[in-house]
Order: sequence, then structure tokens, then C-alpha cells
Amino acid sequence: MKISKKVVLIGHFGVGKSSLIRRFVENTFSDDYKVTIGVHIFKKSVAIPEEGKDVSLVIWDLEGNDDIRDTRTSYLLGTSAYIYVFDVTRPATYNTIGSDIEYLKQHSDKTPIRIVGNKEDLLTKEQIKDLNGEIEPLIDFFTSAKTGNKVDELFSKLAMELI
Amino acid sequence: MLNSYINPHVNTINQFIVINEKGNVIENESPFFKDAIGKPIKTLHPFFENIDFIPKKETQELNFKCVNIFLDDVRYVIDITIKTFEKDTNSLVIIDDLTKHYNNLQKVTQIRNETIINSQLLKYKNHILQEKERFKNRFIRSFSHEIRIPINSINRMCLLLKNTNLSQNQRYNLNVVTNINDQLKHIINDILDISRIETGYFEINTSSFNIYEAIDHINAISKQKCIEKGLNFICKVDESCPLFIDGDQYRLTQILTNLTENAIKFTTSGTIKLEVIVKNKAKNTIELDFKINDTGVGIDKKKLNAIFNGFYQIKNTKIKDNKGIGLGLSIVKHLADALKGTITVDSELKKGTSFTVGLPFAISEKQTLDEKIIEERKQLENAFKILVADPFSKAEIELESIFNQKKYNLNFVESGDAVIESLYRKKYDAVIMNLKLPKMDGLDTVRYIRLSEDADFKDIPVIMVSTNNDEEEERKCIQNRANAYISKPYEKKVLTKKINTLIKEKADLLT
Repeated sequence: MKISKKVVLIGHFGVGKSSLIRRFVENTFSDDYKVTIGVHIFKKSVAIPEEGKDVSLVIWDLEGNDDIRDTRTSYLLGTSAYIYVFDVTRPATYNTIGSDIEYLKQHSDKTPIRIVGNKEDLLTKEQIKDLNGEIEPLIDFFTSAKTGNKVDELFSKLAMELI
Repeated sequence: MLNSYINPHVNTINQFIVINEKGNVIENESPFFKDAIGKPIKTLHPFFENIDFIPKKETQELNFKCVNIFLDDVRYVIDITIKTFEKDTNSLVIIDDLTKHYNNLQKVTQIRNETIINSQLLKYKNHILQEKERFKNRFIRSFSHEIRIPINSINRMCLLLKNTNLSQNQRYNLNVVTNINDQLKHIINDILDISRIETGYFEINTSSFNIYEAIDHINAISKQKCIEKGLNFICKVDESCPLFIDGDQYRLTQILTNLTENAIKFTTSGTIKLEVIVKNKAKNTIELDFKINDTGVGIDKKKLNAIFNGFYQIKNTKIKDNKGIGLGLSIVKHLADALKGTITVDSELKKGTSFTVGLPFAISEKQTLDEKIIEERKQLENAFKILVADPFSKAEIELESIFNQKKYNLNFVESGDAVIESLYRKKYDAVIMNLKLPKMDGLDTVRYIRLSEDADFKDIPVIMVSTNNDEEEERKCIQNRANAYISKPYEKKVLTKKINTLIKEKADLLT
């Protein structure tokens, strides 16, 4: 049985949303930053053998903004889950995380939101630990699109939750 | 302004797709999706896969701007509008190909975002560096403070040990330990100073002080060090400089000591000169230039800019005694800045270096010396100046209790070499010298004095001291032209009588 779910990646620009998707969909990575304008849409199936199901994740890679309130609301229609991505090396990308999550919840209260700190390979374990204690709400995953760390786990777990 | 809205749509042709209530394509004018008729729109592109939210039988228009789609490996950037109608179950999809326009927008956004990201990263890196710097300075302060306690304890123990009966060898080794410990203390103080300066835990304490005395103090120390190294030391204070100025004497001394010590360290022959020049003088303020010139190894002109950075060290094979960690000049620069002054340097390789520190001061209201100080100075000038050479520190205590300090001014040294150096440096009225001295013993020293051609001291009265009370020893001393021989312990009457007689005889001879 094939289920299709729309997952939206949202967050400030340059946090690595497109890189996370490219790592997940194509298993590739490039250090060159290429800005996303508008939206790119990708698709990848995730098999859930325990359930005997396939989840087709339609992943919307939204352009990053300084303020996520500037995101075009039409992009968010029909979303099954949000992945809020920030850059662990740039406080400007996670300083407003609390209010950003509130904004998404106001838009669709029951839609699950996963909070992801990307570029974890650039920090030490100690720094990650400190950052985890510093940010409210709790971060679900610290990922690295560059090394691939936790990227598959992020999407697979989300797919399982969506069925 | 209007053109910017119109231009993207000029030369674009809208493409239309009509879908029925089941979501199947019933009409298609879009070249992007060929052979689409009859197919569910969800299968045309992932964009359409989750459009179940679109209301049916309602008049509504949903706009999806700037959607990137790839068809046959070609990227298009399109605006998609989906229209639903109240009286119709069919929906209309309008596609506007604005690839060219959005590509231009992407270029602009790329530059903007990269600039912002770089600036944010720079700010963050700076923040991290500042945090590290703060941590480092906290660590250094605490570490240096802790390490000073054992260093001071070693110093105290060395002093205690110095006052005990030690063999010449033991005394020499003790001196080595004391010197090394002093060096360590100096390094720690430098590190603490730089740490205090960098963290702002640094105070300037202004008070009125006698500039001539302050320079005299540096002169005395530097001269001694220069003599030990076979260098000349010249010190000159501009006569138009007032006696008392308001400033931080401790920090000024620190600056000048650092620079003169550096000059001595990097000079193997020639002269070190410390000059105080009045640069500007007003009613209440004065600007002084402190010039320290040396005839040392010099610094490569290309490297002059780097010398005030921390941990810079001049490398020269001629300089064997390159102790320290290269913080001295950095401290001097920080101190000069903190005192609202300037520091400049001029240097030529193999010819020497000249540092000029310009500092502003207030002229103190008080410009005369206290009567008590004048009296003390007069006494000091009139007192008999006696040089005592005795490696046993007990001698210092004994002799100071014997000689009235108003009438006699005693200077103590511990070796024969030091006797000669001191005589070259200052005029003395008499020498009291133990026969047993390290390196050059008493007899050799008196022989050297008598053979010297220096009129200031070749005939100076010399009293030899021994613990033996031995006639043969006395004969040898007199043979070597010592003026008198006495045995220990010192007896006040005997010693003062001998000294006074010898000094009088010498004075009579001269008149």
C-alpha cells in the first residue's frame, strides 16, 4: 500500500535544507551553497517493512527567509509534517526558534514538527551538548548533510510516524 | 516601478490545464506535460501529488509562485495558479513560465544571502574567539596567581639559606637557584600583566613623584647590569624637567626597565643610553620623551611592525642570554597606550635600536624636596662610603650594627670581581674585605687594586679580614699592600678606629 505525504522543510537561508534533501534523496553532497528561490519538490519512497507499507515522501524544499512569517502560505497547504532546520554554527538561525515553531503551530496545530540542527560536523560533541541545553524547545536531531549523520534516520522516523 | 512588475510577463504565454472533479486532465495546452489528457494530474509532477486540499465547487484562486520543476533534465521556474469555480466541478491550472525572471532573481538572492551568511559566521566566530580569550585570560590569571605562591616561598627559603654557613660552592649554587627563580617570577609577572591588560583588570595609579629619583633608580640598576656585561650606560635627564610630576611611577618604571633590559640583552658591545627629553611644557602639563638607544644587534626593518605583538622574540645567534617569552614589548606598548602615550622604534641591523616613549604628565604643585629628605641626602653625601666584601651575610648584620649609618654608608658585595666592578662604578673611602672570597680571593683583589692605574681607587685604604688571626696571613696581606689586617669577630672599637685613621691618613696625603 502506497501512502503519499507532503513534508515541508523550513528555516532560515543557508542552513542546509536543500543539502539534507539531496543527501536523503540522492545520497550526494556539495559544499557550494546554491540559494533556493521559491520551492523545489522532491520525492522519495520509504519502505516500512514492519507495517508492510511504502510511504512516498513528497518533500517541499522552501526558500529560506530571515523571518519564516514571510513564507508564502500557499506552500504550507496540505502539509503532513514540518522539518524546521537551523544551522548549529549560526545563532541567527536558531535565536527565533521558539516563536517560529509557535507560528507553524498556529498555522496547523496538529501537524508534527521536527526540529533539526544541521551542520553538526562543524561542532564538537561538547559544543553540541551545550547547544542542546541552550535551545528551547528540544532539538529532535543533530544532523550533518555533509557526513550523512542522522539524515536517513530523520526521514525514516518521520515516515513511520506519518503512516 | 511598474515595468518591474510587467517585464516578467512580457513574451510569456500562459499554459492551461483543465482537470475534472476526479483530478484527471481533460484539457491541456501545456507543452511541459505532453500526452497528459486522461491522466490523473497527480501523476504529472510531485507538485500536484498533494493537492487534495483544493476545495471543490467554490470559487477560489490559489497561487504558487516560483515553483522549480525539472522536465527532461531542464529546470523551469514557473508560477502555478489553481482556480476552482462555484458552479463548475472542473478546475483550471494556469502555468506561467518565468524561468528567465527567476534566474535573475536567484543571482541577486545568492549574493545577498552569501553576504549575510558570511557576516553572521564572522560574528559568531568572533564571539567564540572572545569566549576563548576570556577563558584563557581567566585561566592565566588564576594559574599565575597560584604559581606565584610557591615561587615566593622558594625565594624566602633561599634568603633563609643565604643566612646560614655555606661553602663557596653551595653559595654559588644557591645564587643560581635564586636567579632562576627570579627569572621565573619575572615571566609570571609578564604573563599576569598582559592578561590583566587584555581583560581590563588594569589600573593606572596617579600620584606625585620625583622623576629624577625614579630615573636614578633605573640608572643604578641598569648601570650595574651594563658593567657586568662590559657595556657603558649613560643616563641623562633634561634639566628643564620639573622635579615632581603627577603620573604612575610604577608603570613608567616598568616601561623603562623593560626597554633598558631589552637593550642590554641585545647589545654585546658599546653603549646603552637612557635620555629624558622635555618635548612640550605648559603651565600645568608636560610631555616627556624617554629615549632608549643601544648599539646592539638591531631589528630588521621589515619586522619592526611585529615587535609589539605578544610572543615576538628577536632571534640572533650572538645573543645567548635570550630569556623570557617575548611579552616585554607587548606589555610596554599596552602600558604606553594605557598612559595615553606613544611608542616608536627605529632600528638598523648590526647598528642598534632606538625606542622613544612619549608620555604626558601633569606638573605637580609641589616642586621642592622635604627638609628631611634634603637632610638625609646631605648626610649620605657627607658619610664615609665603605665597600664591604664578605660572602657571609652575617657580616652585613654585624657591620651595620657597628657603623653609625649617618656617618658611614656601607655597600656590600660578595666577591672579589664585584669589588673591582663597584670601585669602577662609585668612589669609596675604604674597603673592608674578607680574605676568603669566591672567584678572585681577597689577596688577588687587593693586588689588582694596587696595580690598577685608576687614580680613584688604586690607593684606597683596604682592611683585610680573616677568621684565623694568623701572623703569617697578616704578613702576606701587608706584603700585598693591604693597609690593615683584622681578625673576626668584628670589634667595634678596633674597626672604627682603624677605618677612621686610614681615611684620615689618606685625606692628609691628598691635602
